[in-house]
Amino acid sequence: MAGSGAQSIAIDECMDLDFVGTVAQAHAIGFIGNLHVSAALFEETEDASIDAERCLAAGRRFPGYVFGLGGPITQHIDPLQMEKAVATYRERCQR
Amino acid sequence: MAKEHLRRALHGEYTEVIPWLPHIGTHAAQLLGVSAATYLQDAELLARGAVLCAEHYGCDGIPLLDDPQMEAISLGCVPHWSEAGPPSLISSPLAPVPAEQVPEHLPPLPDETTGRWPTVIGAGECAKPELEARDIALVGIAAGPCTIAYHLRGLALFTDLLRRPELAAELFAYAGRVSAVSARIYAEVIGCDIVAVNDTPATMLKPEYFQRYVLPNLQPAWQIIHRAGKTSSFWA
Repeated sequence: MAGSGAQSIAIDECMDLDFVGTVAQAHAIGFIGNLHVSAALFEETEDASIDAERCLAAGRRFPGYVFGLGGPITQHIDPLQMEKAVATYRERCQR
Repeated sequence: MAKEHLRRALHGEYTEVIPWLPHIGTHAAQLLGVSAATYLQDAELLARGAVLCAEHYGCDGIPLLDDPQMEAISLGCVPHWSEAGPPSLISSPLAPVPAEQVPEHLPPLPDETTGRWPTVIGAGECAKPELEARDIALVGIAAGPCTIAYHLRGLALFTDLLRRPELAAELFAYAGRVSAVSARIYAEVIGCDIVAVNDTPATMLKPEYFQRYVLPNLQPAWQIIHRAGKTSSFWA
């Protein structure tokens, strides 16, 4: 994926963000990811804030990081969980 | 600056702030209080949904439409619409065709007038100025070659890869041209700032197959996106 010719990649929730960041940096591309949508937004077995912290801690170590979701979402989530993740993002990124 | 931060990050640069771009799916329908089926087929709702999501979650970029089946439906696949998510495909035009007849049954390439493209283009016309005024990037998502080939041929695609690789290669090449048409419409007609190619089924292929069938057929889309001065992204 990193060598496909695209300027950036978005990866799903199963990928390790440290590994992806290392690969993306080696290819001088951006990378988007990868909040655990299944566990944090659909099943709510993970805390959305804690998972947003995981993403930001791993992603910001590399150039080209964009905070994003590890998959598409539907009507089956509680928007409050998404708002929690975004609140953490805003707080940690001072936005 | 939000859009510029996002553009620079997607080009692999460190940015002062980490940008935020969600893979929003059909979540906007939930915020709008309508079914996914209604939302995905209505230009005004798609535009309102993109702006609403971007504002509600403070995003730096937002997809206009996130429906991997859109291209397949424009090529003759039959959808089963859902109240709560993107449609499922219940029939594929190439699924019952013997492998050797696939090349002669490939549908005509789509254009701006085919399937739901007029709806998507209409949505883009409404959403783009609204998002520009808020410094939010508009993102187009094109289906990738493996997604399109799989939708058209169904599970037979995977037996073709083993038994008739030369015919599978023809189908993937065709699917790459369809993907490039989508990329052109998003980049040049709608004027999206970022054009992603979403090809989740490609992750089911082993690396050798990915390199042979997917990689070369992504290139026409990247060329179109880059020639238009837009930012490319590969989602899988």
